[in-house]
Amino acid sequence: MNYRKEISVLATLFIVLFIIAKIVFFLENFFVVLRLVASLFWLFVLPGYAIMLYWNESLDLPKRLLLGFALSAAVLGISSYYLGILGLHIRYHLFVIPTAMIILGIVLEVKKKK
Amino acid sequence: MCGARSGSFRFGIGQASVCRLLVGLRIGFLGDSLKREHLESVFLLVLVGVLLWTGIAALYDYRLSHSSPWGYFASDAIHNLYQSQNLYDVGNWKYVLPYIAAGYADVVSYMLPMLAHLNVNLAYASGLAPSDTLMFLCVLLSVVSALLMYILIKDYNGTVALLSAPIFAFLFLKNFYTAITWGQLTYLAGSFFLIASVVLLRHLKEKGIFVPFAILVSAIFLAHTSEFFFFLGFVVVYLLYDLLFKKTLNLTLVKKLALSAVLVSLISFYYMVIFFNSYYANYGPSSFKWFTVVSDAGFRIAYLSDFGWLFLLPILVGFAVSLYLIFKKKAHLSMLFASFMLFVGLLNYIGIGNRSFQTRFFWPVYLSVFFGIFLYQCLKLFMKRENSLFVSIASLAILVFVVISFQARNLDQGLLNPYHWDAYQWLKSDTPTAARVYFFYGDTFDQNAQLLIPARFATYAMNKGIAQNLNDMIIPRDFFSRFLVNAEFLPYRKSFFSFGYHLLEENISTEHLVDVCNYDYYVFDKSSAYYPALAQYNLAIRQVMLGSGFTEEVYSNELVSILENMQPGKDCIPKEGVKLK
Repeated sequence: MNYRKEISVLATLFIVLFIIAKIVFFLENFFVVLRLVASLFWLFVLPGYAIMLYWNESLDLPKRLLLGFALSAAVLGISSYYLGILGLHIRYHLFVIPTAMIILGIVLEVKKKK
Repeated sequence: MCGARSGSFRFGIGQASVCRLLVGLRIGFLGDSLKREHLESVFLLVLVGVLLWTGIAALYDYRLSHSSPWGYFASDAIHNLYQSQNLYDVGNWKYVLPYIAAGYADVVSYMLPMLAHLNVNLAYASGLAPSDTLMFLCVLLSVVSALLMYILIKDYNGTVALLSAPIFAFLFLKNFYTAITWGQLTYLAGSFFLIASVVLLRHLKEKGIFVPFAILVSAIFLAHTSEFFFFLGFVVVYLLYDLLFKKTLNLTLVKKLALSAVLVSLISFYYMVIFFNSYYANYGPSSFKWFTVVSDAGFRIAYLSDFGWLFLLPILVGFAVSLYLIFKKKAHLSMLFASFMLFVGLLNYIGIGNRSFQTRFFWPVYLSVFFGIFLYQCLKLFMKRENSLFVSIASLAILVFVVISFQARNLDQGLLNPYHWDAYQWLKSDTPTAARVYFFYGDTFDQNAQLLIPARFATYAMNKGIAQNLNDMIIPRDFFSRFLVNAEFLPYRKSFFSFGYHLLEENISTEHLVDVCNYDYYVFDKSSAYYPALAQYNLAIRQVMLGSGFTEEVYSNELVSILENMQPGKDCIPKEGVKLK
């Protein structure tokens, strides 16, 4: 498992998606587009990628990225629903949920290595 | 590498040459693999760019942030907007806000939660308004759905996957695009999770993968529940296909599915109880209607003919080839899934009605594999060796041709113009939370969800009553009106499993004659693009009210005037009405 290669792929993907977004929203401010793409990565790409690392031997990177995106969205939506009902205002969920997923993903990967 | 080695054995000159040749070929092969990988990455990124451009660029006027919402063309879209806005403001999905619950504070929030929660999290993270992130998010989910279908097809054949891609563009063209513009947004979210679940279904044998699988399936339930039942139907079909055609039953798969089912039940349990005691209790049984050919839910129907005959014929031929492979027991999951979803989209004829029509919006994703199969078979006739570069370029060329041929021209802003939007925001920020607002005639008020944007108790004059009054040349005291609530039944919890329904128990009527002088604020459209006489009638009512001395104008822009009633219950209009000259 080549973590450096995958991280460089993620970095390249971020840059390319930013370029695409800036072309699509060419009338929009640079920093607004940058923040949107960063938000997408924070909410939907990184958490799912971290969790799907556990299956890096059976699933290739493109599949893990796309399924990870869906998984991030699923966990975010479900957790946010329940956290709101339990009393935590939704404005805090974007800090709690992705962080928890990324930590969980790293822990699972480290445990798997051991 | 091919030189003499210490130890085992030494290469002779001939053997060294052969070795060098084999190493060279291996490097060459690796080089080809790297090139194919890069080529595919470039292809996918261009595909994403073209799809995003087609789906959102013009719809959003090439910007992300707007002073008033862009892209909302129907009430359903605006329903999603104000639900997101309410969640953004309140912070949770526990109860329906009183202004859309006839004043009750205990009405359980039964609307499908997934999309709103994703949207609001994105809004907070990006710093954009929920009205700006919502349509973008839905287009993005559609694009990622297409990519998920691509990787599913790729498991069958990489070239077929490349050739399937042009059909994805139809997601944002013709009647398919109304899924976004007319607001079938929760359906989109449900379909996104459905496709992701199907992709992961193939890998269920992997250790532990039933956990993310169960999470994705739970997400379908919370996003759009009918897609959940279609997914269950597909899983049954998938298992039956193996059992009946291949005479095998994968017991490991069945075991993993059973484990997933337990997890899904646990994750979704809280919302399942609400759903079956609200939506399903009120609408479920009546959703089944035989031979439905028109939608009674206010959205456009997509048809196979929306692909145009140039693309439909290849899709149908590809479908025929897939059917052949299915009966020959050689079908891939992507073909089985596509055939199933084609069938589901036609179930309106045998009772499923609107839910069946909705699945057609994603036919450009589901049926893409048939188009890819057709082109692949044609390619095999003319090309002895597959050339990934040629296939990629051809596929992108067809994609661009589709977009140029079918893209909607001249999309305007939508229903929510800056004048109404500004008036709604004023009402939201400058009036008491419990204020009752009465809306007289407006050109777009038949799409009445927008009247809930101010987050105030909203009642509006029904057009048939106004037309009759104008005909009679009178401004009455009582207007035939509709009081807006978010649902027809207003469920509340008596216990965890037991629900009551305020609207049914208290026999609340939402349409009746009302004394307009019992309201706190009045909204008048000063002009009309379609019925100038009704706008003039509005201004006449406004004049009478201002003349009574009980109201004063508190807001005005080019289109909208808002009066405040200083003494609700007094004679803002005389009891006997006013005769128009």
